[in-house]
Amino acid sequence: MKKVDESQIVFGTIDGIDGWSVPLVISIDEAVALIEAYDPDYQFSPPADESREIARVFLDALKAAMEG
Amino acid sequence: MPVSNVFDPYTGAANGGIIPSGGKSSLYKPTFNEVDLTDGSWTLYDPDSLIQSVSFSGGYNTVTWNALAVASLNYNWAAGGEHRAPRWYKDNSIDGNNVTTMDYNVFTSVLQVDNSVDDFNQAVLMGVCVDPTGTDVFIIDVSGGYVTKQTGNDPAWGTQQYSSATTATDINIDYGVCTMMRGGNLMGSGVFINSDSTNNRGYVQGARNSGAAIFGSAIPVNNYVMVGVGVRDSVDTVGAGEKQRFRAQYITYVPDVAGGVP
Repeated sequence: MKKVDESQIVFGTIDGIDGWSVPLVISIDEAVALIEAYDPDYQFSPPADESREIARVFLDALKAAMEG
Repeated sequence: MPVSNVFDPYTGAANGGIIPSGGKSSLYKPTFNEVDLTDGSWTLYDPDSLIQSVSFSGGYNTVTWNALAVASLNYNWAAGGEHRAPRWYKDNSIDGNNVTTMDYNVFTSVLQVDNSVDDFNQAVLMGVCVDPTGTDVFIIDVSGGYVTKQTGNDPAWGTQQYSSATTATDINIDYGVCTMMRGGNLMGSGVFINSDSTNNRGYVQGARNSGAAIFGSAIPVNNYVMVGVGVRDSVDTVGAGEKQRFRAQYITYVPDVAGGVP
């Protein structure tokens, strides 16, 4: 399972960057599977569907936070 | 008006303004220690001779800088592995007892900046550290309340932890309150609420975990109270004679954690 810890989203200056901090929580099983499948030296890793799934969790939370 | 025990009524020793040794003063609204960098109790460590002068009036410290012509990570308390920004320090002492890295200690600061003194992109850090004369972050081990101000904009208050920071701003805010817990050889975390001075309403809040342990073995090493000044961002410079003006207050206490463990 992956989700954003929505109550911990921060808007401010974080580490010198003006912007948003969006904490993403991934269950242990899924984190292990993601890392096992990920090859940082292969340009097509991770697969697009997997990347999109993570990106959508992040973007849905960011969108909700930005729209207040 | 609350009365602060600047000197312990039982021993006569300076006590940091909180709890007398032989009795229990109230923990309800104890008076903060006001930072007056000119009162003789503070020592300046300024490895690159960036401080021209400091003065104090009306509760505010005014720091006048020499030129910082070449921008560097080293003068940003919230970035990098080396800190060479100026800092004042003194013992973190309560009731004659030095607070140590092994004491579970709670430290609260209140920071204000004078928005009318807006010469450069500035930062102020009111915190606790292990070695104020170090330049490596893992030697200094500093964390505390933090405020930055970009010229022409509202200040942003929050907390600096080790070598990073989280701050937040709002047009209504007049001061930032930060509380952090350190102890057991860990640097702990800080939380903050930024408020207005009209009715003390909070407008933004936040927190940051240091994620850091004190460098070295888990043996008690004295802590210091520290006031650091610097630039807001690592690309910022300071002109000769430029100033920053701020008010800083703090209080610290050490609960007897081990005494409460069965």
